[in-house]
Amino acid sequence: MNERGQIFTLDMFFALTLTVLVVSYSGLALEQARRQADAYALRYSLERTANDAADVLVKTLGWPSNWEENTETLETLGFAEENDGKAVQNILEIAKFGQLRRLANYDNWDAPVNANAVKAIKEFFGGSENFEITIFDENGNEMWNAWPRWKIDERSDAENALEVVVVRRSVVSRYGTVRYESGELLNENGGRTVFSTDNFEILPGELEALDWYIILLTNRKAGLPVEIYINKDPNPPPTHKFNPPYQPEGDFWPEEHGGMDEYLHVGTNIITAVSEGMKATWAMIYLVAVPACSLPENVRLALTSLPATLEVKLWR
Amino acid sequence: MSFRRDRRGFIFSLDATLAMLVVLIVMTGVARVAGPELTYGQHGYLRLERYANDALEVMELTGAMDIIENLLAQGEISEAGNLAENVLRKILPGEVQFRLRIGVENNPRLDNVYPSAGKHAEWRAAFENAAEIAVAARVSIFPPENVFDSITLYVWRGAEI
Repeated sequence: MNERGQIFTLDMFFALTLTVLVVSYSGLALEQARRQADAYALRYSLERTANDAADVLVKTLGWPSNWEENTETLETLGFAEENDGKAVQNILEIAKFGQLRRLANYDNWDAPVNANAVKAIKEFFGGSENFEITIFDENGNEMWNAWPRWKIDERSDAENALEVVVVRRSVVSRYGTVRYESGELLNENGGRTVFSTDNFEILPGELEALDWYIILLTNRKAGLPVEIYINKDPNPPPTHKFNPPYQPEGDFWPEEHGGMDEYLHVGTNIITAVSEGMKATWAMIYLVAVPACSLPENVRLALTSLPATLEVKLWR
Repeated sequence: MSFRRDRRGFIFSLDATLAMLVVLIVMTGVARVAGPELTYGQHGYLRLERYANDALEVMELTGAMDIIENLLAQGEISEAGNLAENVLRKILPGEVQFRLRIGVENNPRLDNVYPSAGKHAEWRAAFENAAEIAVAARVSIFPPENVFDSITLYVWRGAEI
């Protein structure tokens, strides 16, 4: 008699149990492997996109290189300052950031007129709207930030995201762009002196993207008022009159949010300075633009290059 | 049926043990694939290296490096070290520590510039025990001899001392 020839033995029961267990665990392991591979791919992609985006932003001018002059032509973002046609790596051109900020604003992000630029920005961040760019000053204080449909006093969705990648790059930033610089205006003989009229250009979109201010540097030697005339003949009343005593670090106008947009227009603008200073006194006048909604007290920083941090945040 | 005569009927054989081992190795490998340490390994060092390069770049762009070189030329080594320390502390994030050396290893013009003054022994130990160190280097001309010398910045992740 063959004692092994049974249909269902205890051996077979154990074998089947083991097979069922192995098959079940294999299925679970495969499912876990698939989920982990997906999570890894997503995380890797986020990291890669954020690192690459930050690198391109601080090292290139973008394409076209003067995209900030006409954002409809934007193909690739880049914030680097231009010198002799080449990008100066790690120096930010704040006017470019200002234009991005304008495009990303709540009122502009979905506007049909910006559709091409918005598409280019989204492609830059891997086809996603889940990004935020922030610039911090050297003390770690937030200067400006931008994310799709940003609004004042609101935060982006990064705080509620499952997974956030943050990349920080050390840069040098001027905190604003100097659009007009008078040089040293010397009042040689004293009394009312009208200096020559100069032109400066404002490009389409810049009035909205940037806030405009005038800075007066006198080194405390201009004893009498300095008048500024914007887009008008140098006859009183002036657009603004700077009165002494002057601040050693420079005076600026207007001292409120929003700057002096109402005195400016897109295209060629004219500026004239009049000094009523004493003999051999001088003044230097700058017209600077800072990203819209900047704090007025930071306007004077537009004249100096200071260390800053560019932060790129991506999430899913 | 006799269990004594059928000696092939092991519930758990050596084959099964080996098979389980293989399965466990595969599962552990799968679990490791998406682990945060792997993602960090691929991008964390890249970031560290960029922190170091950006820091040297910013020091040059702001003119801080020129001032440090001039101070060294005038023999004001302590002032140069203090300036380098302050500038680097502002440029680099708080979780990133650093050591700056100007000149060659065995005869540096300036060395042991760490995130805080003093505690050099502790900083040196932290530097030597750092799990991962990124290095950035530049070459500059130093007055008054006008010779080339290297500027080397080491950065690593770690707590402040």
